[in-house]
Amino acid sequence: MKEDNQKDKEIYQSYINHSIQDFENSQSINVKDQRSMIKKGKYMALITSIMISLAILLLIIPGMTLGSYLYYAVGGKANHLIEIATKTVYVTEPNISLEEMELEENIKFFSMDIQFEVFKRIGKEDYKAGEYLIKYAFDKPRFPEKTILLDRPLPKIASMESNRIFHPDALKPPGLEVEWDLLKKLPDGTVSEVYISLSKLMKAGELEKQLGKNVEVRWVAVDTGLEKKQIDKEGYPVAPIGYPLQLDQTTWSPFNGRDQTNEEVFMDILEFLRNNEENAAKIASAKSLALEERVPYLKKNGIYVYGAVVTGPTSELRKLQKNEAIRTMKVGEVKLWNWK
Amino acid sequence: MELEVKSKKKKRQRQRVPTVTGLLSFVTAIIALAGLNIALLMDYDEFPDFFLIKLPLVGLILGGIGLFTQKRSRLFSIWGMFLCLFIFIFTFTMFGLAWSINPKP
Repeated sequence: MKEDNQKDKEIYQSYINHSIQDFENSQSINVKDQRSMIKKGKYMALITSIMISLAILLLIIPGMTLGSYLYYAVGGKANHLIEIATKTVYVTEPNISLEEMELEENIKFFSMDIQFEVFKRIGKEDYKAGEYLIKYAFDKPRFPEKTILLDRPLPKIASMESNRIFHPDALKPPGLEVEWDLLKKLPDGTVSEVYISLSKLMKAGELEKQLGKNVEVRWVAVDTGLEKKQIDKEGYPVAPIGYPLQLDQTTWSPFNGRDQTNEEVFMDILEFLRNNEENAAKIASAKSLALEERVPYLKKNGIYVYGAVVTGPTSELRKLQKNEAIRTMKVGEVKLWNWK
Repeated sequence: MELEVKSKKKKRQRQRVPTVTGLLSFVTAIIALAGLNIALLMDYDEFPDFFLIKLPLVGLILGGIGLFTQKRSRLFSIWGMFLCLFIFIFTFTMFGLAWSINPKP
């Protein structure tokens, strides 16, 4: 038994030795070369990892940019947001127009800034009234950052209390009589912009006839059933809405009078903003536009105006004090004579 | 079980060493991509055609050559070509998308 074990051990040992011999013979590369190869392999793996990581890191910004552009361009999201912003300005800001051609947009990582200049017609000339910057995160706007260049700017938060136009049935704030004195003290060689509130509701055409040809009605405030109480059904103060009465010759203005009258365009805009009211209210800096209540009211009762923004020679505007249709007046901007 | 050592076979295996053209293609693509990143971060007004057209074109050609080189790893060639193609697709897609946003003459 012991002899057998010894024999097995010898056979096993010889087998192992044979295998080691075989292994050593099969390796044509010496140890030094093997080390060099391993070193080279490690170096290549490192380079490959660095380069691939670098490539992936460098793809992040272009990838995000592309994603942002796709988000805003596909389905016309950016154009839709721009349309809401510009149309809101036309119907919520008295006597303010804008050059849509000059509107600039800047798309960042899933955010967009739009920037445009706004103008006011005083007398016969348009004056730059300011610059608006609206920042969007995805499709939600922040309150616009306004750089106003006016002498008597409108308040930042639009509401009836801070407004310059008052409904015939609404209480008028005291002390408005001094405004006529202010107009009287202005020299004749000036043109002015005034905000008039009417004694009764009337059609825009009727108002133009009442005021005569020596002044120009720029923007009319429309009665929407909420102006008397000045709050919507939830108790939020509402901002006045209206539309420009004169045709705007600017190519991209919706009030260019090519296909529809300004009244029809106004109703279309309200219907459009009704579907995007949250954004529109933010851009109008109003707590509520209450379009869900206002649009059906306008459809049912028609468009009647309760106030307007009028411009013309100061001497002609003074004469409006005798006009019984006018309840109150507030002076806006005044410029040197340009009434040609 | 037997201890068997495979004898060295001289198979025509693809080596792990990348092609020189592939490596150059990858490096070119990374430089172009870095240029694109800088242009995007700086909000650069002028069109950086060197980084968006010329370099990726060179990278694409080098990558193409590297792809057909025998006995070498094609990894870098594929990466180089992928990145160069991405830059081209990015450039032309961005043109189209930017044009469609606020399209006024």
